[in-house]
Amino acid sequence: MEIKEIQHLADLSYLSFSEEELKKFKDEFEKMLLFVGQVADAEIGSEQEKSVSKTLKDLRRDEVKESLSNEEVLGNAPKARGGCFVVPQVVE
Amino acid sequence: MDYSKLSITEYADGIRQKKWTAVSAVETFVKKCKSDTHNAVLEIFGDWKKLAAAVDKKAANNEKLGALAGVPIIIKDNILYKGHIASAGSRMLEKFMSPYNSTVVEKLLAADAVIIGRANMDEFSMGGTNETSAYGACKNALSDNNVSGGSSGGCAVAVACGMCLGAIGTDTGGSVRQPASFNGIVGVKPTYGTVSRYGIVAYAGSLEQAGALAKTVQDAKILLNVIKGADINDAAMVQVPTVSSVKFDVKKLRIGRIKEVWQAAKKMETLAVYTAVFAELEKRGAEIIDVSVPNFDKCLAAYYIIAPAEASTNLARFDGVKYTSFAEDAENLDELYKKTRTRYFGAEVKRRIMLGNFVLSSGFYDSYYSKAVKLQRHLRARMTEVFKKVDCVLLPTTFGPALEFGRCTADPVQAYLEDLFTVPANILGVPAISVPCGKAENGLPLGLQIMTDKFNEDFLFAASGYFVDNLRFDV
Repeated sequence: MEIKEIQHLADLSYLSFSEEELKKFKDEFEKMLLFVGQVADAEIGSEQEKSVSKTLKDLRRDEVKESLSNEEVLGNAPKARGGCFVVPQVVE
Repeated sequence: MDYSKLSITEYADGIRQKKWTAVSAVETFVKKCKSDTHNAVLEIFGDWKKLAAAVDKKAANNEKLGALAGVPIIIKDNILYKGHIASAGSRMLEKFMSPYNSTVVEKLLAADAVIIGRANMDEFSMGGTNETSAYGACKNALSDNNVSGGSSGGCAVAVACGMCLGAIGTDTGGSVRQPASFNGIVGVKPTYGTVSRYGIVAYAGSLEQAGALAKTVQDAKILLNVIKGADINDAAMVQVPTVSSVKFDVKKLRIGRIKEVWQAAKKMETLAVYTAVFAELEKRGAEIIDVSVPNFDKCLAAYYIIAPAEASTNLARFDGVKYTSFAEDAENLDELYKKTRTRYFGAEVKRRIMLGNFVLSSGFYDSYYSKAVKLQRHLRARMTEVFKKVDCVLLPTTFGPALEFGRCTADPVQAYLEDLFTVPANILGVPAISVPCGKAENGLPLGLQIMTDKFNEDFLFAASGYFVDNLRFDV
């Protein structure tokens, strides 16, 4: 892996790292990928080669019922105003 | 009177028979929590006395009391309890106040338990030593120089030191069983889909279940029976089939030994303890069946793909907008995300988010994530066949006793390898228990792990109870 690719992953993850951390990450990542890459060698026969599908479980009925209040939902927000979460301005 | 030496049944009976009050008995546990030097408990909840008094009132009125009447319980820091902080061992949730109760907590309270505090843990359950906690590591119950194990390290130490009569942890790759083993107690992870995950901070939802930590098998069984059960709020819950209860008979016991992991066990310094267990059970009439399950050892690689993949998705919600911690100096939305996450997540969490995003990213998805899930399905099918031929699989819980501090953190891959014996039960979704099994040369406890087929918890408890009562583990 190249530093450039690690930086791309960091961007995808919304994380920043210093140059030094990126280098350390690169070494660790190579080791980790070598380790988890073992799954590639596993011969598991064709019956499992079908695409991964999920069976739908029982879902809750789609009905209106009491839930958390607006205050409770916003209770942990670092910034809230007028019943809404506050974020930095997005639109000019 | 030292209430911490009592079993849950003895203690709760004492409450019912008004031999002692919950307020006075629980106070002795709270005192132990307050004077604790292991860093096992992150917070003693201020309202424990109110819960205890309510139990006493019920007892005074001769009302029927639940299975955990007045029993002091500690919950892992990732289990939501309304009006109390649940920080998941992270600075990201340092001030996060649960707006509702997890189903597990609802069930504990309905059984008249007294929840007294929250226990230290590896950050977001990512770790096996409790060293990744943002609030400092937790020391082993029996040695200040050794780790508690993890991720439910605080829970295990709290039980082992008598700070509570039972604890509820979560187990994604061994996080209940491994710390139980390191601290000489019992830890059980139930069948996937039998205990609700509603209100538990998610790490890797397809693998994790809440589990019980207690001094004895019987206590663990009582706790698990309280927290399990249907819940419409968790879509992964399964209909539990009625399993005919079989009387445990060691002479009819068929024990599986899986070649692919037993090979690794053979290199352990503590191997003699486990060979002695097999020998003794064989002497008592059990049949030991060696089975080969190709790729079984690759459960671990599959785990370190599937778990980070889910973690990277689950932890995407921590963006500085909704969950208390945020970067005050961010000038735009992107910066808010990036600075908040960079500042408030620890190194191991970042590592797993990065790994997760990698295995899910375009170009690598098929060869990593998709392949891991296919391998998981393959192994599940194979093990269903194996469990027709054997009643249970026996394994060590860990490679040895609790490691010394600092020995594991330098090399992440080395740390991941430690989970070889515990991860399969999560990959397979089957129940497994760790019970104390002798001591290593340094005097620290070891664990024996028993794994069985789905929904067979009753058998698991019967078998492990027999092992603890009848086998002499000192070699």
